[in-house]
Amino acid sequence: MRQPSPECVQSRVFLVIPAYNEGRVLASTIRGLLPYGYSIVVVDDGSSDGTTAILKDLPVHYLRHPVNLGQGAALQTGMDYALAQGAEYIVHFDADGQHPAEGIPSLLAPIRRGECDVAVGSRFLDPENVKLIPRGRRILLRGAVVISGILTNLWLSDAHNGFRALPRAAAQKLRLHENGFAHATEFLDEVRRAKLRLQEVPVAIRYTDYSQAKGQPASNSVNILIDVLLRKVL
Amino acid sequence: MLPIQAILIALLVLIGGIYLTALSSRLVSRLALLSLVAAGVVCVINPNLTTRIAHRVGVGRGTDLLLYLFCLASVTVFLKLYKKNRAIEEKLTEVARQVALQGAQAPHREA
Repeated sequence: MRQPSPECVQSRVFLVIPAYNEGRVLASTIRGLLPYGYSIVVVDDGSSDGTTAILKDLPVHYLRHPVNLGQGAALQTGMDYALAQGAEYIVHFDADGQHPAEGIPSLLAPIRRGECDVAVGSRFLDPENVKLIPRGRRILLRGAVVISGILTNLWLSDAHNGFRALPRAAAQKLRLHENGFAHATEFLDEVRRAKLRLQEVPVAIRYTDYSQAKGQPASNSVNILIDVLLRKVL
Repeated sequence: MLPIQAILIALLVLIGGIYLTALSSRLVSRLALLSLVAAGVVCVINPNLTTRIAHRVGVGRGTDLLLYLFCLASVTVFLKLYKKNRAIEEKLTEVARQVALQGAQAPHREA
């Protein structure tokens, strides 16, 4: 593994943003990220809303799945691409702007200090952040934590948090086969299988009306659970 | 022979033939299919046979025995199809991923 220098070039940090019909909000998310100088990889997961046109003038790496596959598949495609481009660090970032760009250095910090191989954002480590989570979602997430803990044997404070960072070597060891949202559980499975050290980092998630409407509806959690279980059994 | 028996046997043989020519070409599954068709024909010709077997295993009627077996078979088929579907999905993912990677556009550097 290449030894990352502390003042690692920002452009060697690759943000992988899966996007499926995220439209304008994606453009504004990206504009908010540009000043930081990270490399941005947008994986358009077969959108039909003209995402291509929206991104035309933005300095991002643009990949497009010819058909919609799911967020997990888009993340894996983005990681493959970032690795091929020589990424030193890979950060999973949400298209709808719910992840704060300021959280990226916090995620990378423990990895750079060599304290862990994978850093995952948690909404529950800081009481101030917990208050930002709508109540229904909070209960749902608590339940997800337990189920995810039982299934992966990794006990975290937050589940299905899509804000993650990993260095090159760790990304090479992981492979997501779960195309849909069950990839969040699969990701933890993979982390454990590859014997990577995981650390949670407190981050605030911005719950905008858009992300609320766009995010997974609560009912979908049952679907995800079934997906996860089926994958375990079969 | 009752008319229904003739119809059932004809259909069994027809379906068996279609499967043999169009679908699986593996020897094991072909043999399994042939014996299944043969068993079906025997049961149609001799309807009491299933009832006798049913009594042997503690089921009241031959029809019930067939129903139970049918249920088990359905579940097996469902699981097989699920697995197959996953495999196809993974291949599709791989193809779509390669297409995406090959068509990737790096940011055009503007001055």
